[in-house]
Amino acid sequence: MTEPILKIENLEVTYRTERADVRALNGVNLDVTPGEVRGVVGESGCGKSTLAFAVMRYLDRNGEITGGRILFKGEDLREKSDSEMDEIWGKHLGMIYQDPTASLNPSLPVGDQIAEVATAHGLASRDEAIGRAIDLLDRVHIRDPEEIIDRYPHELSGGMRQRVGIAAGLMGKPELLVMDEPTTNLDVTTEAKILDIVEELKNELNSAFLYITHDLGVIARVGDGVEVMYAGQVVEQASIDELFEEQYHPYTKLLLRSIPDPEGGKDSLQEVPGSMVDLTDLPKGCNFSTRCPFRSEECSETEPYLEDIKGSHSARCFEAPIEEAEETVGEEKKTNEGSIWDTPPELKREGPILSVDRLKKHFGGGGNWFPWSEANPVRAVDGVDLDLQKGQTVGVVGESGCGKTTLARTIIGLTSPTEGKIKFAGEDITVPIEKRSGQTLKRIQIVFQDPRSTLNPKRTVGQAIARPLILHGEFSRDIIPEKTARLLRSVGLDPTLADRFPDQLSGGQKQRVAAARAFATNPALVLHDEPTSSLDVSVQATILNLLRDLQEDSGTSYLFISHDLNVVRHISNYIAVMYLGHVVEYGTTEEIFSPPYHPYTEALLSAIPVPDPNLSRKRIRLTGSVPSAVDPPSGCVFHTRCPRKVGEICETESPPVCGGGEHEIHCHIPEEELNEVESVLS
Amino acid sequence: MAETSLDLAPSAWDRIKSGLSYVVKLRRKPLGFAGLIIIVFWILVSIFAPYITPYGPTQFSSDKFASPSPSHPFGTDRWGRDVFTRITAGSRTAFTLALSATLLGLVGGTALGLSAAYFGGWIEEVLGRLMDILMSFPALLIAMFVLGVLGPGTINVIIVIGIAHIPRIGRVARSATLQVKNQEFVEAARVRGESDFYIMGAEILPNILDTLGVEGAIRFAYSIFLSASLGFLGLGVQPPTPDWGLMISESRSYLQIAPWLAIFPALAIASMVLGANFLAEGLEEVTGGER
Amino acid sequence: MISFTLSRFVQALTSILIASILIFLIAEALPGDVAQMILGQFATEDSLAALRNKLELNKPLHTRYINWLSGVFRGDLGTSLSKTGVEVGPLLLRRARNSLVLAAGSMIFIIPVSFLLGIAAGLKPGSWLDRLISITTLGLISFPSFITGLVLILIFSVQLGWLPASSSLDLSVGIFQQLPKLILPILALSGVMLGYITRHIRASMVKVLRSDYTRAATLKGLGRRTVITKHVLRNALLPAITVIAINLGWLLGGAVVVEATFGYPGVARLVLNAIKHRDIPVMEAGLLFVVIAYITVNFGTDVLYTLLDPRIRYSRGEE
Repeated sequence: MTEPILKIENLEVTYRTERADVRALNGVNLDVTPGEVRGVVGESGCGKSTLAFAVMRYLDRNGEITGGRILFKGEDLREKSDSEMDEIWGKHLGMIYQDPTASLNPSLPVGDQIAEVATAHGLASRDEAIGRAIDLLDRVHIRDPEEIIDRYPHELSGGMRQRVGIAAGLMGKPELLVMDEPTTNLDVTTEAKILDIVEELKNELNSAFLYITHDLGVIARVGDGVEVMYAGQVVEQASIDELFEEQYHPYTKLLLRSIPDPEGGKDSLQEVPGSMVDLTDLPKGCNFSTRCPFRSEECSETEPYLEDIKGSHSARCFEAPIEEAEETVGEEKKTNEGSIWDTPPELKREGPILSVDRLKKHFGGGGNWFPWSEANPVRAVDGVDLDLQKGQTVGVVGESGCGKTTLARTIIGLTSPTEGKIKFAGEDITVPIEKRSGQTLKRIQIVFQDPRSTLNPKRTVGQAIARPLILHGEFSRDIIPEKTARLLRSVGLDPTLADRFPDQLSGGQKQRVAAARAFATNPALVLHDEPTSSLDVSVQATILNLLRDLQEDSGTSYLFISHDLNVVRHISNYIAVMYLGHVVEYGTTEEIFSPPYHPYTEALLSAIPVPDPNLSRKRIRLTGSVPSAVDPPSGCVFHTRCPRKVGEICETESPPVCGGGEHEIHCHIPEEELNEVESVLS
Repeated sequence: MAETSLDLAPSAWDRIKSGLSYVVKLRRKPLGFAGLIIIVFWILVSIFAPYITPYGPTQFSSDKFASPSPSHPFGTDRWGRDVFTRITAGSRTAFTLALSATLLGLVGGTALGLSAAYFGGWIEEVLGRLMDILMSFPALLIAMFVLGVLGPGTINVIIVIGIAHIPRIGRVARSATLQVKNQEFVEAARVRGESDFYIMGAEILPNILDTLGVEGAIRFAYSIFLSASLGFLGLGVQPPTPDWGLMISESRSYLQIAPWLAIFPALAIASMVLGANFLAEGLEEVTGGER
Repeated sequence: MISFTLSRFVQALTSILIASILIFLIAEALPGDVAQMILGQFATEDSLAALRNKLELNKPLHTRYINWLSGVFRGDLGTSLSKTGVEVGPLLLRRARNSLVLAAGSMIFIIPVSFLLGIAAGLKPGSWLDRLISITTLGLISFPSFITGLVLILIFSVQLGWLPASSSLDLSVGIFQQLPKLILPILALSGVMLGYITRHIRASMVKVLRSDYTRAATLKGLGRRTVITKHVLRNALLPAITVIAINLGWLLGGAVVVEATFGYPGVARLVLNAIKHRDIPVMEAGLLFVVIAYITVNFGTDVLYTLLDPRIRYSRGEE
């Protein structure tokens, strides 16, 4: 076995804050050997990013390495001065960042920003360095690199920026490359391409990679070994195959099961009980003991060590390997005190609860003051038809810029449509929110994406939930507190939380309050705009379970917007796949996930990282990036990137609908050919 | 059910508590705390002004141009008036002017800035253009101009300084509103059918109060600054009202023989403006506002 | 780019036009009858009427506004009412030149000093140097310029006798022969602005130093010097251009207090006296000058900024 290039021993990092000292890393040990990708996985607050920057020996001003050693090529980086680190940074130790946009200097051409690594270390003259920058851009599959080097970062797409970041990281030929969530801010098809590049680099170079991510699916694809972190410690350490074969630590086990599975059924997701421990107030014994369904008495007494269990597989748990768990889904099921839905939503007549007809929403354009600066509009939503039946869920899925959020905002009335009709329970509601009747307002609600901004920071939880009850004035004031308490209980929260302010709640709790607020007026339709995408997977699982329970109890219909196909699959009866303002495919969940596919759906499915290293699937990659919605391609909007383009007809005519039954595929490819495609998931 | 005591609006006590918590936090910011002490000092002086000295602010005496001495710690002016008394009395003038003008500016600026940002579209365009033009006149110039129309006098000075504040406070209120406006809780309010008035007053305003508080402190400092300058130019408060700027203006002919006539009012103005600016700086750190 | 410049230009013109209307209206609102003021209290009704007729005071508001504006375009700004017979145009021009000299002098002093202080403080936030500079600049923005001016006079004129206390210029000698008279006004005028610009640059430095791209540049091993010169300074100093421009506009018209303290014959004091004496033509012309100067400077800055900052160049190019 080769010597590790990076050896971390007992690393401790402490942040000094006004309130208390926070021990972000607490005795971390790990090795990275040349030629391997070592993954570090964990949820927010586990310390994985701190680990990355500690290795770079570049912590925030208030952060300090308070113990242990970071041996890089046998030398302890803790003992290096900043000027000694200048020799190492870039040349021996490189880094790739989560946010490629913020990490590139906005006022320098990208070529300079790549080349400067070589010139600063005296590895090349400026001309040679630019030449090498071009080679590197070519290597990360950027087309026309000679032209791109003179561009500024804002002139590139997010995926291109991240490739530039990777090129800059590779420029000094570092022996170790630290990658801090390099694909987290990218769309799934772009992510797939970046992960391809990481795989290629791993095979071609003899460099070592420390790969930080929250996504077990990503690490299953590119990793060789993996460290699972919880509360500043490594709780499980294994090779990729070992880890996905069997998880020894309860946290890993629960975490892996909380991910909506592309193969799996639609049962409730596994939940990790409780929430992340407070790093300033750690429990006695094992850090996970407060949440662990398998804990014994020993766990809350003494702290476990990371112990070898089998092969290179070790876990920080007394009970490991744990026996196949008794199914523990979630916390105790909420007690339904006679259901809070006093009056089930009644429909005036049969038919779809929501019906969207040729809906278009174009932004800007025309309205400018000066004729010479008149712009074309952004065609965010460009002709969408959609029906939603009572009690059903339609998932709308697509990548950023596909118009899915605009669709939701237009339906709820936050923006008015440019063209088309929206009907709710048979009634035309194609008017802005100010003109809708109180009845309509009450019966269509929305749950937003960002738990940090979904609640007014100056209002208590109780006030937030009570407000719709007061506004719509159905209840006498004195029963509102009781009603509020029931709503809180229905979303699995303790009614005593009513007096709390949002900043005293966790992200998951805030989304629960948001759900309670939306359900307060007993709506017939609730739109969900990416309600779980800002949450950790284990929290996501609890929210998805909650939303399903609420739907079962109330019979409410959902329109569920998400970028995550697995989430949509888990919760929806029907799915609409959107691309550049159009629905390209619509069908039942089963129809969408099995052939025939629209070529875009097929590419999306093949791009999703799956937490299973043995799963091989068709590799379909889209070229280029999403065209501008200001000037969308003619004919079929997908033709510029379609790997299965038929010919000229795709550029000139909008595609016909094929599929049969409720299944609609908007594509020029003959139906027989579409039918011949094999399943992406095999 | 009894466990939920449901306050549907923050009580006055909650507001006071959150205000006090800022004062407590200020103690850790040396600069802000120094500012607080200076301002509190001047508040006390202005409250007790008539009881501190035996003289009246406009009381003449034969003891002209007396240099500082135990009986006249800051000396006397050309009419034999006690400078110390006029300074303490002048703090009342300064506070009256600055507080009223700041309040006027805050109310006007917030109303304009908040509604401009909230409604957007042509309303924002028109209001924004208007504020830009107002801002294109230096505040002092507007003040001169309007005082030219209205004539000098305490009320007019307040109106003028208040108006001069409006575009600047409006801009701050506007940018703060823009940050809050697109947050999801505001959209949630729209979705449930709240009126524009409710959304602006109950959802947005509480969230921009911190920013407005800091801006208010800065504008308070600037009000003192401006009113002193106007007094100096002879456009502000008219004699014999004790006003610091005016006192300095009157002292100019006697710089050679009686420099204390200029020095003490100058110190008074400087310390009050500085105190308010320190306080603003501290408040900004405490509220974590980024501007 | 061109379309941006063009629409910005139209915007500037519109602003000037609206401002001219405002100036005209407010001047109209000034209390007092102009004719009465010119002829004095004891004028006969007939002579008053005749003068009103001559001054076209009887014509409707918009006609007089258009007449005034067309006069402005022809370079005819009328004659002063208080200094009988003096043409406003040349008077304003002379005063404008003086103001410009004062403003330029201040800028030459302010820009290098504030950049130096701002960068020094911003490089090491929290250090004693930073604290010292921060408190000093807070002090600078807290002292009205007449106080700074008086202190300067007390020290350099009264005590040391090095420089003159009054800066009323001698018309027969060129302005540059009277440099010593300029030093104290320039210093007094610079104080507040020096404080503002320094604080702005410091804040901007701190922000850029904390940015992700500065971190990325550091972790490339470029060395601190290169990181600062190549990555930090450019991004931190660009926004300062706008602040300087705003202050330049202010310097041209807002220097009333300094001009009054030192008796310096600039535009601002011209306007002040015109207001006091109800000299409407002078007042209107002076104010219009200030507004045009300010808006022109702002327009120039926007265009310059667009040229220098690739981000804006790009996003505006798309408009």
